[in-house]
Amino acid sequence: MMKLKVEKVGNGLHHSEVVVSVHTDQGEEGLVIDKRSLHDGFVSVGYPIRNDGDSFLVELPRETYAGNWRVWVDRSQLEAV
Amino acid sequence: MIETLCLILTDREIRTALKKGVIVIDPPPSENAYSSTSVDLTLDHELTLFNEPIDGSGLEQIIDPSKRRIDAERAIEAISTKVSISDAGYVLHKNILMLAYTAEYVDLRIDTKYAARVEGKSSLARYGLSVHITAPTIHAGFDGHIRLEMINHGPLPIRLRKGMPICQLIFEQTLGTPDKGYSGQFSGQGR
Repeated sequence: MMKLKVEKVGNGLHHSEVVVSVHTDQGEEGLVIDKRSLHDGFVSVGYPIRNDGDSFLVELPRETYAGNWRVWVDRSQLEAV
Repeated sequence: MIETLCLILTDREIRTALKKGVIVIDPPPSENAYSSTSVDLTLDHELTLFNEPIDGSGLEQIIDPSKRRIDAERAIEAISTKVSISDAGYVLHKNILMLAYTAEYVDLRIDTKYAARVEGKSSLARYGLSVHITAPTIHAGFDGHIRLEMINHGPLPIRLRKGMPICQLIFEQTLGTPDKGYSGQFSGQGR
């Protein structure tokens, strides 16, 4: 299992939620996650779907504002759990 | 030939999954929250109501969801009002869009074979209350309070109370484990 680095950028509409930003190969993507999913700036993404060199395709716990579930991220954004 | 069936979980199977911890509902549902193939979730006290547009103001507001940098939460905050349901309840008037939440936290663990659908309850639907807008899927790996997109389509205002059963969750066993929950090699390489 892997965890993905995220940056908290604000609170969600509900007290249980936070807004985080993910640094993807295509730029920053924002999404809402549950506070319980956020651990020291990381969120669990399970196993990567595939890789292309140092880029890894991962599935986020929620859909991003742009409507993406899966995003390509650099290896440096991931850590093994 | 695919021999494994995709199945809707019965009340007994839901309880077993909860006991095993492969599905989490917090706080756990009461015994009377179950039906044969679903479990009811209840309404949290926090609501977000979309403001009515100001006619004749000359202002033109358009949301472009495809813009990657849009902050949807801040955009919604700018055009909505937060309300907390009091002991007297909250009256939802006709044709008002409102975001609400389940009081329960739900977790469908990444490495298990469960997904779910959130659906309305017939006892509320008969008054015209809908609890989602074409987005009922709770994906494998989801965790959080379920956000509900509610509209009163009926002829009369509806009084909502915190803690009332507001929707039902139907659990489905998936055919296989999703890629992100599969501990083998990557399912493929390259883009």
